[in-house]
Amino acid sequence: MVFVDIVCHLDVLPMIGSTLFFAQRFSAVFLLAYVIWLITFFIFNQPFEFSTWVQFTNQQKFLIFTSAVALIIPLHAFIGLWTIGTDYFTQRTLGFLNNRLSQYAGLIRGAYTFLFTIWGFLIVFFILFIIWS
Amino acid sequence: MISINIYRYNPETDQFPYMQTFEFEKPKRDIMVLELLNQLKTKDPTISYRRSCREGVCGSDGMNINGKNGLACITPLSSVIKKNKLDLRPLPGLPVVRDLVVDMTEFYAQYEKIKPFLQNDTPVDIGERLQSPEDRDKLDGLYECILCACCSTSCPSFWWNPDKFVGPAALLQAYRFIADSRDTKTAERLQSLSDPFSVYRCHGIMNCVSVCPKGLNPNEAIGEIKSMLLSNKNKKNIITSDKVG
Amino acid sequence: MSINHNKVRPVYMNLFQIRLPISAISSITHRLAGIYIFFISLPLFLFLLYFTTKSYNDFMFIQQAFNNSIFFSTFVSFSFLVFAYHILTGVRHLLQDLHIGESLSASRVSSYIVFILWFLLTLFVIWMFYL
Repeated sequence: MVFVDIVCHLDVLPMIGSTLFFAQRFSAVFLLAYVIWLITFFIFNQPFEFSTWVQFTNQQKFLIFTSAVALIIPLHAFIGLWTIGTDYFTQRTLGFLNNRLSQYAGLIRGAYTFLFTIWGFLIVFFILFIIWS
Repeated sequence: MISINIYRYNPETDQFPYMQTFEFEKPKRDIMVLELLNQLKTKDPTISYRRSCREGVCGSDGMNINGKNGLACITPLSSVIKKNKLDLRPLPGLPVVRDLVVDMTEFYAQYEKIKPFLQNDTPVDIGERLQSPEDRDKLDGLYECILCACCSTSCPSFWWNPDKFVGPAALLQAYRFIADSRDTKTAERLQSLSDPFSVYRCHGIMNCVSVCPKGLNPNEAIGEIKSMLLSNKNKKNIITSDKVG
Repeated sequence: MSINHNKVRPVYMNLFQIRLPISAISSITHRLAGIYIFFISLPLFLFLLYFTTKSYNDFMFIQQAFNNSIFFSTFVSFSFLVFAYHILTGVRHLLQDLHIGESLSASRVSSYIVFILWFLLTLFVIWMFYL
């Protein structure tokens, strides 16, 4: 129950606005660079073959870059998802939809935060698991 | 004939708001929506709406006209009427006092929060604080705001958090004072805006720019504030009374 | 009759009636795409990464599934397109952060450019995999 209480009040943590803003932009550019790198592989290695693909995904560069991406994804995603939580799952916004629902806003936001946090950790774990095994 | 649907709500008699339709003869010449409302009021004196200057400078008659916020007194009927229908609704997101009149308390609270007055503790030698024409030009596009609330009430971020997100109108005024060369409390102003909600809930939706009846661009001002906040962060934010940025 | 001070004031908030300009559409779809990516596209891409690198048989299985199952190929293509959409609108946001395209007209034009680019990409994906 204590955990639920903490999670319901994540939005009043003294986080600095410009730090979050910059972190979201920085992670976006980083992820964009990674995607462009992958796309250039796909463009210059047509048709898509097992041997070239395995070779590409086994190289040191790929393992390091993808591991970094695995940590950067939750940084980028959590900021956006937290913003969504504090936009829509609030007493006021849910109140526009249904008055009884708005009473549970804190609980709903807490559950949502818990869900995406767990999901994020799972994604990080599976990326690292898949590429390093 | 044009049909006008007006949002009606009387807290003394109605439990829920409703739309009331009036059939009206299409005016021979193009009139403003406010003029139309005045004529409607002769038919039904109970229709309530704010109005004053009738020339687009007081900001009283902001309302949602056929889906878009605007000032009724400077909105020609021809520019908004669709298939001979006109929908008049109050500004979105703010509590409705009666019919088209909304409670502006939250809007004004955010305006007060950003300290919309010149802050300068230095002594004045000659009775006025001098400002070069170049510095005065920097205030163009910022000082003209009439606080009609059309922008903030069209902003989804303001709808969801009117108490935490300052809103385009107040942020435009915040930047008006940050950009003023005569104001010395820039660092403090930026510091008070540095939390994740006050400025950073702006995602560039740009509803504000599209509805501003004075043609102002709050989004651009907010962008400038964001840049200054970022460069402040890099300078290891130290509050001084010197001008920063 | 006295005014009932206990009554909560209504708020006008009908999103189906309030006019949303193209920039607002761009913004909300960017957000929706982000949610879809996080919960659906990313796990799908991890699934594909795992099986395409596990063994040659698994790689061929994925390739067969893609060629034979309309559902699977559509699902993968759609997820990729949503991912691409988020990137395109994201780049538009990043440019606006750099003060490029902040005016009303520039914002409208950039929204349309993003939509057209995404539409072209969709056509390309359809051409690549279905024709």
